Amino acid sequence: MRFGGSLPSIRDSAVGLCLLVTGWASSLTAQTSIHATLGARYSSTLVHDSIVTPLDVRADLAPAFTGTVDLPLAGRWKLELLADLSSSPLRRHDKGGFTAPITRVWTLGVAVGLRRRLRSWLEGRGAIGALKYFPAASVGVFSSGSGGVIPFGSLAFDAAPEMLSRRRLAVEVGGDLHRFLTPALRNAGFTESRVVYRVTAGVRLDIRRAP
Amino acid sequence: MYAFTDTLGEVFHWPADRLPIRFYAEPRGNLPALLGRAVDVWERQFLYGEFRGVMVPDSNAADVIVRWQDSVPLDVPPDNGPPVKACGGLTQAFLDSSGTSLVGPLETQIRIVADSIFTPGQIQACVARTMIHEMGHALGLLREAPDSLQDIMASPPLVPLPGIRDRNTVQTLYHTAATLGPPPR
Repeated sequence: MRFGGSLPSIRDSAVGLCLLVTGWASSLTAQTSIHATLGARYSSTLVHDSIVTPLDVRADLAPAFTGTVDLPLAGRWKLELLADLSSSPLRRHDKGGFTAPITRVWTLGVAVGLRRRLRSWLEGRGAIGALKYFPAASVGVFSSGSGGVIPFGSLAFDAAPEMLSRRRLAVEVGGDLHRFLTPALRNAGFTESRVVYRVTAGVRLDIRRAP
Repeated sequence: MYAFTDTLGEVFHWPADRLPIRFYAEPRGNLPALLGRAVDVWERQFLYGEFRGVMVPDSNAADVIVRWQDSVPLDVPPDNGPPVKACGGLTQAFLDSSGTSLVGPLETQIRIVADSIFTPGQIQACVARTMIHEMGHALGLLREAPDSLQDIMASPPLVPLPGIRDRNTVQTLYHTAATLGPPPR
């Protein structure tokens, strides 16, 4: 009778697996870097229209916060997970220079990318992810919602000369691209989404730096 | 699009520096709810922040005042059947002595047709349409639209919501220079 005869070996395997996973996770944690970037973001025109005279809809210059986690890969490469948040008033710009607020809008992006050391003081990163607009009120171009999640791609460079690196700081410049169209715009006859680019410049802080 | 000027060719809309426009409904029956919905419906016709409205509890602080003319209809779900003219509306504004600006708040009255043979649901459907129609006048659509099958601004209004021509007309109005100023605050 061998009822339960395999139990010790299963238990041993499970313990072994746990130790392996814990060890790997511990090793991974030790090699993980965490960064936070605070910057200013310019967004290009979201909507161009003409009602009697031409008008553009753009977000104001916005504060932008990005949190990133880097996980080690082979060689100079790292896997990067990032979350990005920015917020600013959305405004109509008439041809004559008049502006009118529409609503405040937040954008939240999450992405996965690859980071690579290019020089001893310079790193580059490319990422793809998903972006969503969160308007403060369901009005104007957002009166029928924000249109769901939008794919986006981004590119960024971090420069950390010795003087900044010693303080765990780096200067970051980046940009991203996505397409913008909302249900209200579609209802109004817009058929093509508009390519929107955003440029961000800021300072990155290394909260945790892998050895 | 249809004409939005008055018979003399005057153009009126609320200027951007007066937004949000303040609306007051006397608290009888479901008039505040009808007005709030009408303001919301018109806000949704604009894409670029041209118009915003808020409800206020004090008629002394209002740019637009709405009252029942006499009787108050029963607050029941609106009838979804064919539209009937079970009610009417009137929006009035007065010019100052120079004739270039409005004076005092705009005043709207919603009236239930007397000796009405209509059901309470038909009356509610009518006052909902008429409230949106009258608020269109309060926004500056000073004429009646020609097509009652398409336009909420036709008289009588037979469609439940603004159509594409209503939207295009009010958007164009708010991007056209006004010849009449708003009443002073």
